[in-house]
Amino acid sequence: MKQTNFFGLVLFFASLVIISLFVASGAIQAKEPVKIGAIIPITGTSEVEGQDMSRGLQIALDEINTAGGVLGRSLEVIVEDTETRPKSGLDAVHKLIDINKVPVILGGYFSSVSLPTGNYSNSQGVVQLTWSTSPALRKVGPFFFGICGTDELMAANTVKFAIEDARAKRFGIIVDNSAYGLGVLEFSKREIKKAGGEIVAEVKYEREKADYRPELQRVFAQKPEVVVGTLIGKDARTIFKQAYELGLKPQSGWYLSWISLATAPSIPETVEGVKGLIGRLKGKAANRFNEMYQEKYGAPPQTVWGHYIYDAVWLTALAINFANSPEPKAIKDALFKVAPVYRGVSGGGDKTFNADGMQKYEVYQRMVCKNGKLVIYQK
Amino acid sequence: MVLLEIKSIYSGYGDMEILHGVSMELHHDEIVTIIGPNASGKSTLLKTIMGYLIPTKGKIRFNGADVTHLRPDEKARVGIGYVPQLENVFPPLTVTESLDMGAYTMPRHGLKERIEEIFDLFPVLRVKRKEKASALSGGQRQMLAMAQALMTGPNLLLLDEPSAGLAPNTRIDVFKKIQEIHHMGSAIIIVEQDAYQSLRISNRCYILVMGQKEHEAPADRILEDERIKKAYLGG
Amino acid sequence: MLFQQIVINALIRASELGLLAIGLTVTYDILKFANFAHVEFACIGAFLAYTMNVTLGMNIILAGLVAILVVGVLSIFIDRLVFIRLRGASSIALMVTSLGLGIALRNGVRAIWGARIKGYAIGLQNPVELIGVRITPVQIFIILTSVISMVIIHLILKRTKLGKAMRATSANPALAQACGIHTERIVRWVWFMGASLAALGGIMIGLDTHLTPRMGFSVMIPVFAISILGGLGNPYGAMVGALILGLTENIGLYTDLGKILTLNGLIGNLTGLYIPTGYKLAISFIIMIVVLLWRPSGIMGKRER
Repeated sequence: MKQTNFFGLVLFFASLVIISLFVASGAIQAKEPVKIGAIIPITGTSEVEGQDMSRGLQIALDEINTAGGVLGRSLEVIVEDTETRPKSGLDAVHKLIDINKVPVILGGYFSSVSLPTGNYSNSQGVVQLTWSTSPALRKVGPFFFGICGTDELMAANTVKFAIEDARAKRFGIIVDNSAYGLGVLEFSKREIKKAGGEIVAEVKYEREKADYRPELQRVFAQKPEVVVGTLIGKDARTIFKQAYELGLKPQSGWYLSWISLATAPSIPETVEGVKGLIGRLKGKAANRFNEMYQEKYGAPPQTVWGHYIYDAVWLTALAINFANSPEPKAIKDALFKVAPVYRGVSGGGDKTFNADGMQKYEVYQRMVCKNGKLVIYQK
Repeated sequence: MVLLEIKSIYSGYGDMEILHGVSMELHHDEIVTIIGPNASGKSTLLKTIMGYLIPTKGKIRFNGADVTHLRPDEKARVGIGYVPQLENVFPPLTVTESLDMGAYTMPRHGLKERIEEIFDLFPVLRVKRKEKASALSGGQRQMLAMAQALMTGPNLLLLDEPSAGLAPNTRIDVFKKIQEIHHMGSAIIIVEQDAYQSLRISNRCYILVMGQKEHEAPADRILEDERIKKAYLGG
Repeated sequence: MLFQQIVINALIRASELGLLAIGLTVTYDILKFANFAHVEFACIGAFLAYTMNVTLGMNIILAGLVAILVVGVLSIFIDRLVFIRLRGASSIALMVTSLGLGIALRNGVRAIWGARIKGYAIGLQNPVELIGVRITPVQIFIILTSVISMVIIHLILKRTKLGKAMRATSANPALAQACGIHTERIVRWVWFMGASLAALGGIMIGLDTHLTPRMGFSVMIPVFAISILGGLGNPYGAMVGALILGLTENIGLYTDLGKILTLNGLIGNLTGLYIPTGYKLAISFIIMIVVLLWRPSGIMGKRER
């Protein structure tokens, strides 16, 4: 009998402990952070840009959580790697939506990743904000937002830069063979034709190859005055290295869309004097971001993509607070309201969306590569 | 002196047992012919002696040592030469290269002299020394196959149907060579279906039927035995 | 652009891929299956050399030699671990196994070294001009190394006892055994030779460009195209195949088909008709398909059976 009583006592205390644990965890639950997701190219072709994105994300998160977070809770971002590939990007989004059940996903980066991931998150009623630039992204759906001006603007401005700066008439075009690159190709051609220029070579290159000499020979076969287009990441490094070794250089220079994609990972000597455009980073907000970045990581940002994800995190946080809800539908509606009043650090700072949820305005900055660093171009 | 002693071996391919307790003996100065109908286990016996097939039961002794479980390349090293019936040359190798491979287990020095000796035995190969084996005629290939197996001067030579598929006059050449080889000091086991010529140069003969030894006799006696001639030599 | 330059560019490409293809083809010759994991030996070799060269500060040539030996030994280890259980299995089973092994090795490299781009400590190479051709010292080194390696392979196969035994084992393994050749030992040597050639090719690619875990995988199609073109199992075919593929890729993209079709303006006027560059990889595929349809045994024919 005594024994039974003793066990009863133990059971009683054990249940007390368990109940109190539940209560305690309930209390924690009330303060559990609001979790959103991000898909970033941590590895693969664009790992250099990916590093800036991870850092920009961290800077925004620190700021937001120091300022009190969202809905009185802290904001947390679950980061997944896209490996710069659509398939892995889609796997990441499935995980974030199906398992983590996040209301918002940031990123995609390349249009070829943003398109399939955006289609899935839109179909699941989850908000996705990307800084990809393909015009095709417009049609993804109401839950999908772009915070960077689309390619036709960028490509047209790049060609304009080449024409104004070098009086170029004969153009070579080289692009990455992806949704983004093909967009740049199409809009560059349109702009060159409009300006009465001649296209002497048009080259699409495949990713992650060791040998781009045949492609380079083709670009330079008819001696173009300028070469426009877009080169990306590791492959840009290989292409510039091989062009350097072959002594191939356009007479009046390279003019690249999103130049930091090409120059950041490349060997400095091989990209000396390469010109191109990036989203405009001037202005008070952008300067403050650059200072914070420098202070935290001991070096200035290599690309502009830290700026874009920074704006994406802030826009999301503001929208959640404005909607007073972490529900995707409320966040989606709130985004349209907060964007016009927000002053961003990327692309000129005005992040207003048009009716498709894409950027209305984008201001580009002319840059040139000097000693391995991008500096503002002045003629 | 007994060179090879086989004590009631059982052997076959996987689960399919083909030899059911075969025993035989071979003296160091003998030529023995093994005859028997198709699928009686003659080739299986040679493959088992050479080590391509491992007997499930029984023992093989060679020169007084137990060699039952040696691999084919180890059998070659202890002095057993083997000439398979088909695919008995290296098609892409030249005649000289093939002989070089025949002497694989021997030291390199003296190789050239040995090849010359073999060319003396097989003059036709000397003419074709730079030809690939694939370019030789059927008879020349058979000569090359035997020459290759003779490079090391083996104590025992196993010949699987050496005259199969050859023209009649070439067959006579082949058996003449076998006799010459025997005179040079190798004991020989010949497996033959059409065995008249083989028996004429042999000392003794074993008859294998359904994987068992049916009969054993001196070769000349077999040639005189009308009953055996009718049953196993096609009349 | 000078024609010589295109030939040199083709030669550089052929030197790198040729080493890999010869390795693939000699292993095929003995093992009788197409080893899809072969290109990963290139990747492992390149990364091992990287560790010794950059992390441990060894001279690149010494680092390369050590890496090549290590990969050779590793391949024997893999054979003992995986493929020895499958001797005599169907070539389909072996191929699928090697496909899986390739994935495992590729991701192993990624797990150990990470996915970030890497390069050897050789600095940026400044090109020199020879007969109007621009070429860097490293590229000259690559071509020379490749040519020397091919001569060595030729001498091994034709002059040495080991090489002849390899050819004999490939042609007739049972008879090779009857000659006293321990064929399992030959198989080990073949693994060693094939894998070290792949490692050498990988290091050459790394010297010429950079290293990533997918560097082996990314040359798989051209390497297989070369081997099929030359006739699987025929190392001389692989050498010729590499040259043809290199030239086709380079000339193919550079040639104005319009000029050829109109006989340089003789009939009609058509210029600027080029193969779209996006189809470069298709060149390898087309070569493979055409050869398989037209001469399945390769342009040089298979060695007689």
